[in-house]
Amino acid sequence: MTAPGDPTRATIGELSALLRAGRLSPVELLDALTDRIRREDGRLAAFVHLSETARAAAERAHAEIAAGDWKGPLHGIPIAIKDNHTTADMPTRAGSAAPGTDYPLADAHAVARLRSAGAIPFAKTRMHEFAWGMETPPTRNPRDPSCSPGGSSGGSAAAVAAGLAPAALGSDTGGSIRIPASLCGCVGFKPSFGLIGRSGIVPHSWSLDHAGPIAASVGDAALVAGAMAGPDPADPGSLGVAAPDWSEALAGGAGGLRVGVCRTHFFEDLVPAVGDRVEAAIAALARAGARVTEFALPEIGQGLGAIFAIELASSTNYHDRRLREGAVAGFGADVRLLVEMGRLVSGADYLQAERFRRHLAERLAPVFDAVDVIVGPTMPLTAWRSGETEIRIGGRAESIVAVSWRLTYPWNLLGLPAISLPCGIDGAGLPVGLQIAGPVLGEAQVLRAAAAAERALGGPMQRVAAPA
Amino acid sequence: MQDTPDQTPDPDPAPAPAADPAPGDPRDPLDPHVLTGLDLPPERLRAVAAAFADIRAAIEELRALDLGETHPAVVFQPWRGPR
Repeated sequence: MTAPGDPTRATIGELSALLRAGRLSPVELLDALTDRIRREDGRLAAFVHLSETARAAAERAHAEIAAGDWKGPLHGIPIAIKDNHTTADMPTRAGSAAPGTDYPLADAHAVARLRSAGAIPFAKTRMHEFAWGMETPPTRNPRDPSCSPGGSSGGSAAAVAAGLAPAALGSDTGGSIRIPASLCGCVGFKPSFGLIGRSGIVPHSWSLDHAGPIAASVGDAALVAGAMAGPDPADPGSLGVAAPDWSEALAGGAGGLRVGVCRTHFFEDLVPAVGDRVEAAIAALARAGARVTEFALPEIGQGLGAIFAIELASSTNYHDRRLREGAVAGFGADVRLLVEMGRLVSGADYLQAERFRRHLAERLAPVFDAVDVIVGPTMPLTAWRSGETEIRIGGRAESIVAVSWRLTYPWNLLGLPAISLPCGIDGAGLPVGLQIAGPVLGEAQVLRAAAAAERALGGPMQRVAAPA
Repeated sequence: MQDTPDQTPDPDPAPAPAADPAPGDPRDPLDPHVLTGLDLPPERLRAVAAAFADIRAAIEELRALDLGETHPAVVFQPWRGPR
């Protein structure tokens, strides 16, 4: 167990044991984190707001735990919140400085559930404006401050990787939890569409948006996601079910697990180090007892037009009043362009995209009769230098934006649970992400496989100091 | 009774030929501003269209897929009130 003197390096599981035993108080933990944020975030730029009420909440949690009123493993744990989740005690800007983009001071459904579980939302993290991008400027990647942390939940991943938050919330429309988790060396988990209610999260694309945590270990991600999940009457996409207890799955191991490896799309045009680390992780799962089956599914790589059509049309529709009134002139140049572009998508294109989603789901269904999970890389590449727009893979120049979400967006089109966890580093010391997906409401097998892979690879990736 | 010419209107008249609008006339149904609903200067509209080129290519591939009788994933359901 990590010593109480170093609480910013501990997992939530370790912190929870210390808090419950009275060896660490929620106030000490919160102060340790906020002191480090005040000292170090000037260089990292992961946070946009610190709560003024969090310390009082920590004092209450301390008194409750001391009195034996322990609410569970998140009681007294500070959690950072992506800036597109509304919060009662902190302003929400969705990463935008544009006028007319104020949101209510009220807890989003997922945030309220975390408070009920005893967690302490203590800060808001920086995000790419309106969740429409892969970079989150000016946030820096703690693994290499010259590199991008990814996006759109880049502040959340950078904060967790630097040990400035035990966990942080993200949102994922085409990969925005898993991409920054992969680039920063964290765990990012997107449960099935609708398992976590999204009311109070600024919409980006209603039928693609998922909420979920970024954390330092698979077990921590499961704890936070489990607390966030549950029926949300204000979200029409809510599945209306509670999360089961995943603790048994986390301990289940790889023995007998049926692991599918889709060689089409997911293993094409990878940076060599990514392919090498992911193959090594699959081999480690096999040595731990998993049965690996390879398969091909050409349709999985045909979804780019579909996700573009849905995401552009939805985002433009959400911002339509701002578009008509010229208020998008206050958006960042990249986001303004995308919002304007959505008018070029036709209604027929949108419906073709929705028909493709059903078609893809029907083609994939038999695969999940034969395998429990599908494993592959989270991204074709590792973190790129901030400001770079192109990368050469296999001798061909490609747009980083186009490359970065290629392997994550299929799981948004399908609404299926997917997790990214670190599976090693490249020659420059930058993390490589392993992505594991499962069938709808197959979170237990996804978490079982992820926890088994994490153990087989030597445990969670250690966090690093914020850049000097 | 004096014969009078038939005054019944033609139920399916041929459309009158429209005068060619001047280039850039926003009343032109083919004007890019009308087609896109984007009230942007021409140079900005050109920039948006140019930036859309790669996405248009991906959407054209989507259009070309034969999805048979597959229904959309998102379908209408009558609203039954708050749950």
